[in-house]
Amino acid sequence: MDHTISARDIRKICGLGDYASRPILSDPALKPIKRSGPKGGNGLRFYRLADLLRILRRCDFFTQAMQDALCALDIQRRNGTHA
Amino acid sequence: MPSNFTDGRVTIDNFTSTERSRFDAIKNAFLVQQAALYGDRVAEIMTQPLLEDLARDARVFHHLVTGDCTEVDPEDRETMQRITKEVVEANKFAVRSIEFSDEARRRQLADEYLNSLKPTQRIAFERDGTLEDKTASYVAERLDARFV
Repeated sequence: MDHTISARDIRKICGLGDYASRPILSDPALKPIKRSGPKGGNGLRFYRLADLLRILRRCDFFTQAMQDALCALDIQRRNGTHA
Repeated sequence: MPSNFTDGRVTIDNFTSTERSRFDAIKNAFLVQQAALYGDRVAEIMTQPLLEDLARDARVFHHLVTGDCTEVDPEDRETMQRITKEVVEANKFAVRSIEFSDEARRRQLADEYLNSLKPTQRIAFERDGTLEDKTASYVAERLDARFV
């Protein structure tokens, strides 16, 4: 399960609104996968850290602290230590 | 297996200098473990694609970006061996290359055995119906002899 980071995490960590995050998240290089919860419904899109960092590093607002936070979230989700 | 063949290359090209030096350490460990596990069975043309897959591996990428050694440590032989095995086995072309090398070697050993027999012996074995079994046992015996 390499796709660990959702759009909501990116907005929260980078302090972006829905409108500001849209051009970043609609980048075709991201290739997200959609994962639904136990009740189905319209699932969340999850992104890989490797794809995401390559896009985010081009943005002016992106800082080292944001990168560290995304990396920490990624390792937690992959090892199942994060809700 | 990346869906897009340029993905790994793009990832490698986007590394910072620190990440690049970490990747060099990982790369050396990967190549050493690959040689230890598979010898010359993985074709040389697969080296670069496998390194691209390695850079795309989530655990390796995490180490490259953060320098955190909890999941991947280039100094740790066992971890690197496990990761090398997973990366090589996840790439279907590398697996095919290994199978092909094995098959080529098998054919070469079978020829070697058949040529070592005298024609009369060969005909005798063929009449007994034991020629195939004898060839197969010779090949099985010799196949891994060079790795011991």
